[in-house]
Amino acid sequence: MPKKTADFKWLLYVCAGAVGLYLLLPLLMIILTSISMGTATKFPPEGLTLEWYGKLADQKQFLQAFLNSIAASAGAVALALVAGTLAALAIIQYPFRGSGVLRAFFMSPMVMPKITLGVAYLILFSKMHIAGGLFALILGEAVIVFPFVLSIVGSAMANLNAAHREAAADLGAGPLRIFFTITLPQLRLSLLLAGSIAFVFTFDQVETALLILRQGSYTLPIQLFLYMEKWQDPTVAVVSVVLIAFALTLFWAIKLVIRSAPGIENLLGGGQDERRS
Amino acid sequence: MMRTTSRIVGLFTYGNGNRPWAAQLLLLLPAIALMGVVYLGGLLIFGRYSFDLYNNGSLVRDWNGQAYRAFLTDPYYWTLIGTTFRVAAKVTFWSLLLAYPLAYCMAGLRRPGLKQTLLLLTFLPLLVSAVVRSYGWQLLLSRQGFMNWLFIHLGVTDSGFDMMYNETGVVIALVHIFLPFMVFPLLNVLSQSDNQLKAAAHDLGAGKWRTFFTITFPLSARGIASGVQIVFTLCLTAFTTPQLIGGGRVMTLPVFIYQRTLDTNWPMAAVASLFLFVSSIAVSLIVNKGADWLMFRRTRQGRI
Repeated sequence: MPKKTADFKWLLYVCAGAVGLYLLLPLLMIILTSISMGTATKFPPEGLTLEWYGKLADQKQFLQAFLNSIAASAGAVALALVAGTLAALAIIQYPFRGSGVLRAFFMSPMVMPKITLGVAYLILFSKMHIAGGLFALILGEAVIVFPFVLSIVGSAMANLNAAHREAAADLGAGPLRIFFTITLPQLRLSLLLAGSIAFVFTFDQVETALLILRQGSYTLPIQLFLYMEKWQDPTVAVVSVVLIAFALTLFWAIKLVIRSAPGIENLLGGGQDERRS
Repeated sequence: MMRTTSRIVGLFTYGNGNRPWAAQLLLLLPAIALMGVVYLGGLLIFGRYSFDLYNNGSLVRDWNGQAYRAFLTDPYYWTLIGTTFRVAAKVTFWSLLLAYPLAYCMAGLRRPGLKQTLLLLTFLPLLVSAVVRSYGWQLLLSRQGFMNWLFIHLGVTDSGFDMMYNETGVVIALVHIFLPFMVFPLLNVLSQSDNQLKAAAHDLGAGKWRTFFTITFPLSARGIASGVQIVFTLCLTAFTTPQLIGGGRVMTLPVFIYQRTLDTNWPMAAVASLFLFVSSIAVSLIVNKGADWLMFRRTRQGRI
């Protein structure tokens, strides 16, 4: 930074601070509402209480929805990781005629409006008679996170040293053995990274899940969404606080992974398009 | 038998630096099955419905362009498109206005601790579900919410503003949701920009503002373009926030598609979806080309 007079910097800090406050305000408001008295959500609250947290135990549907969310996200991420890594092995290691087109097709769910995909899934899965269940959601979400896996794992794979594989081949290792002893261990961090980004992303999916799922298989965001459309009591705030805490835990876990692996930032830098959900 | 076996094995082993096609196909099989059936299959079936006829709640199989005609000629749909683009434009404008100082501040910070905190602050909302964040804005913007309480106590208004169930509320909440997508590309270009250029401009007698407008701002054009492109397209296709904050009264295309799907008017939902998809691609291309053209023109004039 070149020399700046203090007043300009001060103004800049105030602006940045105000934007930071704007970013935090809704989250702070939710936390305040979750401990406020009375069923009406208004400011200032009538008093502070923890009774809503106690009542959460009676709301079995939220716990069920949370478990559904975990199952659906884990399934979708696992499916996308397997399919994505195998596809990257084919496309990145040995590009062939038309692999560019195929790759573009594989990446295209990123620009597809989610609501469009949701309606398409609804129609397709009702024709396949699997609409309403978690399996349908897993298939649908796997498509959405597939591009994340392909681009993160793919860019890591492109950076791998081919000499390692060739050395193993010269020593007589077969393709499967090379994959499991050379390629996979070298990819484990990017797989973890792709998996966690994809997990966070699927966990929040609304558009597709809202259209596919039926009562009993709702995921947490859907349960919240539908509850919010009917009621306005602090239960939503309490569940939201739990969700925020869950998100923070995931974030710290990811951060620890990134800390423990120097150089992984390059992977993120190599695939800036991932940020476009 | 031996020959068949060795042939099959041969299909899967390496030869002169190329992987045999059978192995390649096998590797691609899960991806092609998933993307071909669920993704492409779903979209094609959905697309086929755009040619059907919708008659008072029932669908008639047909090859008919009626839904397309209605969508392109009826002024009602043009109001929808107008609302969608207006909301997206407003959100993009405000995100850029808010994100730039934040990104500039973060890029200039020398203390890594503070920078990390700001980065975390920007990143944190991304991890929280859009439903939860929309709920937070419902709490803030409602008649009895914090914002109106603040405005009344500051003496800005006596009775409070209507900020829920209208475009203002949707824009405020959407800016919050998409701000990180504007900050990251800006931060990227701003932290890469060359401080020596700024120092040179300073030495040549340019003031702070002049340095900013002739050096920093043009150099960050790439970041602005990608931020605008991402935020605008995300906004065009945003559903959760317009639905929850707008309460059905702010009709954007995704909300419209959702409602048409619920009353099984799939032809109209399909046509609107196609329009949404095409327009988000078109916006990306236009912003990209526009930024290229602007930068190229500037370079040719030798101003960068």
